[in-house]
Amino acid sequence: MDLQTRSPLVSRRRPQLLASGRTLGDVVAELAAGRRTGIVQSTTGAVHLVDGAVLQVESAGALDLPTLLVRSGRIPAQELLDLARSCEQPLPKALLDSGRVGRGVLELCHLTALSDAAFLALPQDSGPVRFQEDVRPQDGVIRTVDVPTLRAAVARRRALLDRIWPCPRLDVAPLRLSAAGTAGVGTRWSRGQRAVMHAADGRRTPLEIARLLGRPAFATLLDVRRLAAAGLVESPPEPDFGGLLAAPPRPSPPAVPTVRPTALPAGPVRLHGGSADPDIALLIRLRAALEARL
Amino acid sequence: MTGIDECLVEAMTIPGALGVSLVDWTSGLTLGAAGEGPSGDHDAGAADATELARAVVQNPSFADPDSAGTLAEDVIVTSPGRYHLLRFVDAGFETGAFLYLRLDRDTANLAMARLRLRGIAERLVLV
Repeated sequence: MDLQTRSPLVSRRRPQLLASGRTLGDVVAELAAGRRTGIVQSTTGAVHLVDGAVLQVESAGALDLPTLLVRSGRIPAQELLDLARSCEQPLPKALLDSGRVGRGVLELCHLTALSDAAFLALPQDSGPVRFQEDVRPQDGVIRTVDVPTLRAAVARRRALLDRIWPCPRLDVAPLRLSAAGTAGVGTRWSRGQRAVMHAADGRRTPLEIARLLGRPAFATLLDVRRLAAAGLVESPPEPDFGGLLAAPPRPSPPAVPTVRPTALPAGPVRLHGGSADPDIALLIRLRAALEARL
Repeated sequence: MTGIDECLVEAMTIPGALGVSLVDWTSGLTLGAAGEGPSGDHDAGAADATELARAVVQNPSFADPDSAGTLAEDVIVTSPGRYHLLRFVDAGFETGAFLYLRLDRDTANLAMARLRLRGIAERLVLV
């Protein structure tokens, strides 16, 4: 669906197609330096800028604000869905007025979702980038972050992952238990880390596990690297094309799910084998309702 | 209904408070700040405090035995002239956030400051 048809927001200018071949972070930094306002969209994500500050980041692999609110136990998914459908004011304000979510929690959820999406989207090669100037989100400003501050935080997260266990392939390849992991796990591991081990079935990638568990992508990748460093999980070996007995090559999944450039990168939750969690289905409907409101 | 900025303003009313920030320990991202940062730089202070917070969070020796991974509550560092007080924020989801308060040792009461900061961290995530 095209952004223009989805959104009643008025833009005075036609979308500009910016040069590709750089990371989305580079493109955003350039626009931010000019204190621009609008939506930057690439194949890896979308960034909303207001006067050069980041208001919101979206990436198909990251958790969004509604999912975080539901997962934090602050508001049931059905209630959030009803509120999103019925409220006539911006959803953040409606949430605050409903008394179900405090401002601190809303701001923390917003910043968690924003930095998680930035972590996934900004370092990726951007591909073609569209910039829709002067588009302001109707949901209002919860909190903004400076672009240099955000990029430094993303770089520190990437460095932290590599410091724990320098194997970026772990982030994108299917995750499975090692022989030691199959033998069991000690109590020194956190609940989140044990959940990651439980979900590592040799088919799901860490990003898919993050969505399955309703956890931020970065927190999940952090656990995956720690478990890998301890020898409990691993990615299957890459196919050996030189050997006669090599396994048939399998396509390696992209670093983030590919998004059509014309669509907001907020695709439906897709998981191998489906999910028994009724919340997931509700969250998909919630996302659809929210998009319809935009 | 307390937002991040209100919490930081309140933290600055703790006797001896020099500066306070809310920091994400997974990235060192300063989510908000008030007062003065160490050497006038909140972001550099946040990055340093992050190293400290991470060392505590990631090492099970600092969790209670049989606590099923419950996090530490505070980290306290004292120097001849300062108290540095870190308070982890439990939002019910993985924020990885903590409040970092720096205090002037001549005018601060560490026990009271710790209790006040605990209350602020709890109000931040209150409905």
